[in-house]
Amino acid sequence: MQIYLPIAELSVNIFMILAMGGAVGFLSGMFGVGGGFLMTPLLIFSGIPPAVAVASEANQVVAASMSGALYHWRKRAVDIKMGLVLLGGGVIGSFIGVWIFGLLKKLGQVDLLISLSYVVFLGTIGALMLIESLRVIRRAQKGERVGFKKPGQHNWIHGLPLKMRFKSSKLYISAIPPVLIGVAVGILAAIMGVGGGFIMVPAMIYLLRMPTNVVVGTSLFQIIFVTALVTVLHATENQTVDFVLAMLLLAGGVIGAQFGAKAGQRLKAEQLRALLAIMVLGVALRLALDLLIEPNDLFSITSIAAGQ
Amino acid sequence: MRYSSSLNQSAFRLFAVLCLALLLPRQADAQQLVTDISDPLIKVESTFTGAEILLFGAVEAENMFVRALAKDVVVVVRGPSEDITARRKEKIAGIWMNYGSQTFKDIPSYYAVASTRNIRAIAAPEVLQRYQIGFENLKFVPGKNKNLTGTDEFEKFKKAIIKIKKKDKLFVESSGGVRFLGNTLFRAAIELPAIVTVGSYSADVYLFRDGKLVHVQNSPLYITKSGFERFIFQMAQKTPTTYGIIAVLIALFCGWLAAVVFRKS
Repeated sequence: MQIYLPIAELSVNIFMILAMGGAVGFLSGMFGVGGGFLMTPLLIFSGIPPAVAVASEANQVVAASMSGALYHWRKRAVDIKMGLVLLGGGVIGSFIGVWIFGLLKKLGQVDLLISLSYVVFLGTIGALMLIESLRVIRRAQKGERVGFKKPGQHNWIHGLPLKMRFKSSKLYISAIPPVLIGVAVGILAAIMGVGGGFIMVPAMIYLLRMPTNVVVGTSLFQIIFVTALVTVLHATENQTVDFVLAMLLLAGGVIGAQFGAKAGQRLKAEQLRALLAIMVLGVALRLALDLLIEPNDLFSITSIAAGQ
Repeated sequence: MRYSSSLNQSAFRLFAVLCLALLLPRQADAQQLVTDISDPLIKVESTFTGAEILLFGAVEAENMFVRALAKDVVVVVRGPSEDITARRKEKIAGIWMNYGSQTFKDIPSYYAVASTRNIRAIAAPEVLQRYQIGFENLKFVPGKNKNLTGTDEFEKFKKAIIKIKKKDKLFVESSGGVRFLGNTLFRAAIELPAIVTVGSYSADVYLFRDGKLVHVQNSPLYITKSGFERFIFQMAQKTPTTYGIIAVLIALFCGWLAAVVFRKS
């Protein structure tokens, strides 16, 4: 059954979109990630204009992160104060990101910007995660105990000014690093149509040394607001939010996430991370090949109504 | 149901055109042309997967015994104009990225030519050029920002646009697309893909005789988003910020709903 998307201005198979939402939802439930980094490239591969894919996916992530954040909220696993500090940076980052996006759209380089961002970030994160999880798996096979660094250990971040106390995270650190992380994630959210959890979670654990139990909830809490802002900004600046597309993805995603969460409980954390890393690298590789291999058609066209 | 009713409608119109053709006064040298469109208002709804418009008409024969075969009919459907920027990828630092570009003004977003036979056989190139019949006779006016007119580059960009538009079925050329049913009556079916631009279209029917244009008939045609699709589209264009805020609020509600529903199970 075909359905016409009013903003993307094309007709797509409704079951294909629902299935894509379901599959990505399953994976996001399984791995506890937003899934935007998988969905946006999938949408682009299936012919949705990149600008529409990014903006509509941001709209969908609002719903996904809302439902995830509520789950962690009930478990009291959200550091609101840290979330708000990250959000402060996120707001600045979103404006910068949407501005860059609009600028490059005019220059005809927005597709390149999206592809390059994906290749660089997914490639780096995927590789780091794979190395780390393989090391853990190998050690576990040898029977060694895996020792994580304890929170509260000092590093260079503790020398910075503007210190704040974060009770839920049991931290007393400068507000500068969380704000900067927020800015970076806000820019990525606007350019890549992702929540940015895959960057924020490692940054919170390894840079801020936050306890792992509040990391995911806090990240989701912040993502709700950043993706909401990004959606409104894209709607205002670029008119690229396809509400029908977002709703279809959402319907598939919500159901998929429930099954994914159950499936995820049967796997060990390091196995999950290794699988996720392989998937992340796969997406990065696919996008990298598109940039490196000579395309079939060197030409592309974009059009706007005459006289605008 | 909708389909059959529109078929009935076109059958009725066809009948009306026929009657009109028969009732027309027969002047000695008249080259009368009467045309109509099956569906002058095409609505783009959620189930829209493209449309077929049926153009039909009648050419009056000079007398009862001479077939209208010495005449040629060319149907041209043009969509709302748009400014098109063509870009070419080049390998820069190992990466294929857009490098050269050329903007063209007022190119029809949709352009279909159907004719009784190959248009090159119907009229001389100058005539076709004057009326912009056929892709190669479309005027490609360069945009303000850059002008490569006369260069190889310009031609390459122009050809690229035609090629991509043809691939997307937005530029269609079909010789033999206009068919005579008997002596005077003809019909042409024009396909519109799902990605057509909405707006006002024009369908021109040209009647040629011995390479000369003897009559033109123009009929307007509208493609418009309707129902929910129209509502969403207009809101996104006219009140973009409100649209964005509503999209976010609904998403928040859906997220909350999902959390509540799946909490119990």
